Amino acid sequence: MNAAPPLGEHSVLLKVDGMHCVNCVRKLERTLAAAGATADINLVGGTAELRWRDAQRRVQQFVELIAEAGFTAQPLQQVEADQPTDTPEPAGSASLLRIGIAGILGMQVMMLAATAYFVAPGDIPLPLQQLIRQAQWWLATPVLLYAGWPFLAGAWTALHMRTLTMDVTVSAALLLAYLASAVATMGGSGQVYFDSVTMFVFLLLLARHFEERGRAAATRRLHELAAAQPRDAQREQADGRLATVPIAQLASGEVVVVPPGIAVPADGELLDSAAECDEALLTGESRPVMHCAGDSLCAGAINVGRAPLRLRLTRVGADSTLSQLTRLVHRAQSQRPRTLRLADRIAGQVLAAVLLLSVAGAALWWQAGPDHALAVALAVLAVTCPCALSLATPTALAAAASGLARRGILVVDADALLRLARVDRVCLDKTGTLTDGRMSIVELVRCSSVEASEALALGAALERGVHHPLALAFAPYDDGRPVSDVRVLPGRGPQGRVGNACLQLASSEGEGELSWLTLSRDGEALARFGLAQNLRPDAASAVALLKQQGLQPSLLSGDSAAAVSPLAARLGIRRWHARQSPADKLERLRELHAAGHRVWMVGDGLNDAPVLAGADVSTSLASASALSQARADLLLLNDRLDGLGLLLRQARRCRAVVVQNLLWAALYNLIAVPLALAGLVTPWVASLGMGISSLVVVANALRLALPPVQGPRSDLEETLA
Amino acid sequence: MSSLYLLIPLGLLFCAIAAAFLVYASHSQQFKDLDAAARSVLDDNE
Repeated sequence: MNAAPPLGEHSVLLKVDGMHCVNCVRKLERTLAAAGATADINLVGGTAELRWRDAQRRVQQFVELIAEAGFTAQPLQQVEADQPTDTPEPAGSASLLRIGIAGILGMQVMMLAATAYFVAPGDIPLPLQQLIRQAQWWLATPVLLYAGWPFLAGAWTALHMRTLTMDVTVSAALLLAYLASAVATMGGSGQVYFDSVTMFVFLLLLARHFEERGRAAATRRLHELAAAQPRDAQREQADGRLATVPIAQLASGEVVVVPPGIAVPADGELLDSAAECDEALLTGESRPVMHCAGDSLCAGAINVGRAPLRLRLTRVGADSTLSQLTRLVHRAQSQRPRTLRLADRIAGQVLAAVLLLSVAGAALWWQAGPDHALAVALAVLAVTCPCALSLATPTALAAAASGLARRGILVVDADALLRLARVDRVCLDKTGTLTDGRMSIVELVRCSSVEASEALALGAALERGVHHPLALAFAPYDDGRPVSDVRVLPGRGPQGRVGNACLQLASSEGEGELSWLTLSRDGEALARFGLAQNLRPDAASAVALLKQQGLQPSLLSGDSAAAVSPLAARLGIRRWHARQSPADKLERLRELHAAGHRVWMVGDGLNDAPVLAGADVSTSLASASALSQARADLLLLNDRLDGLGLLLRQARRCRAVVVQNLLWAALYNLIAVPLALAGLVTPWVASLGMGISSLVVVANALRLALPPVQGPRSDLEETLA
Repeated sequence: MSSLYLLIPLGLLFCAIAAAFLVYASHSQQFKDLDAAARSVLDDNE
């Protein structure tokens, strides 16, 4: 389903903790590049996909290098094996303890500091004033050294690696304020900023805590997929008894029993006559799905019937559909969309500008009022928030992908969502996309006195055991009557004996979109059958919805004009092209691109792979060929075309949220920094503003994590569309 | 105002006690899974 790494290249997907901003990402990239590995790092998902060529290198070496850079890493498969059924807890006990300590001690510091705000300087006796300052100092010290340790440690490793991260500016502000206050306390004169230190640590820890919870919520679907596979399975032994074994010990061909309420451990073929399964996690289908004997069941589907079901395994472990989907999602989340790189660059430049501004601000205030110089420098360092800028796009993309996954749509390339929001043309494949690839008999013309049901039963007897779509259309009419001497004549269809008569079913010429077969007995025509491809039940509504959303649909098909034209008319598609080879389809795509259109291709077959790869955005169905799926940016796991409308709507919502977030981040910094430079913002209020700014961005993006529904577009979406 | 010479050290003491309780709660795993109690309400096998 996904592309394997090139020959001689090794790869591993790591779960990385401790990344907070784009500069952390950059630091990690540089560390790994120095060790000869390229990395796709996902800040939101907290993952890094490493690729390297040196066969001597081991994963553990990279894990140790990452640890030296100040982060913790573990191979993702190991993480899943350790915690197979739990959604990871975003904030551990240590993080909450740091917040609690900063909160309790910080509150006390604020109470003591309030005396300086509300009482005139001369009203407090000097010894008492000194006691208040020293009490603040004692309280602020554990806040800085214990609760604020993650910032100090992050800054130290960043400087050690010669990079600039958010932790550097935060630590600079904290240490500057703390040391200046300590000197003032020891000297018995000058301003103290212990309240700013404690509030900054507390608010920043709180903001990061909620930010991490938001990021975890945005990627929760991924962990649900990973956790869907049970750890053990009940394997049927040769003597018929059941043995509980770890799923790693299962092999293809073995029979397992899945009790009610338990998930299927690996892909397999149902041996029971019927079973009811909940496949919501895999396909987004909220209702249980009925299966009959011989149907394929995917790992992760939950047996919601009353009885245990028996299954013969066909694909186990890493080969199962669930494992492939999970890997695909992990890979998708590790790839760094192009749109993020621009935001990253801007955030990095903002960080450098902040340091310069704080120094410039302090220098200017040193001339005008030296008492305020330090406060201004601290406020500028604290108030600026490049975090909001670097979180604006990735959080929105992750949340949008999570929301789509709940509707059975898998986002393989996150960048595709932003591209999809701007498309104006959609090209649809016919066979397997708008139709379900099967055929049915829609017309019967009697040429003799034989009854229609008799003619259908005779045709079904001749086509028994043949798997061609035309032959399968007769299967529902098979009454099991005996047939002998069946032969399939090339280009002429099946021939055989029923009773004493020699029967033949051969293709014949006909008008319109139908394929015609003629049944003859001893050379005399008995009946003619008109067969048509089954249009998917939601094809017409899906096309109508896309048109309603402003897209112009085109139909590209390898079939004849006689087959394509009526179908296009039924669906209301004005532009259609018949007899299209893969090269022709690519040519149509080039024409649309040349005319300035942005094109969305929806296809499923092997022949669609080139055009899927060439389109601005591509979508494939879960029933499509593996090659088409590998080329597609987005996958409809439930094979339902109404997902196309939802996809487009979610993509436009996503783009609107990204624009809102970037505008908010830019506006906040443009207003907050001049205010801080003017000395109108105290350092602790500045730290409050910074925390709130990050949270606004994350909270706005999390709206996209809800499953999308069809509805009217907002004004902003209209404008952006 | 002289009462502050007593109240400030007392405040520091209470603060230290509160922090100690927090450390104890954290070490006894009370913050390990904040959603477990909420989920257990929906668990019908209890």
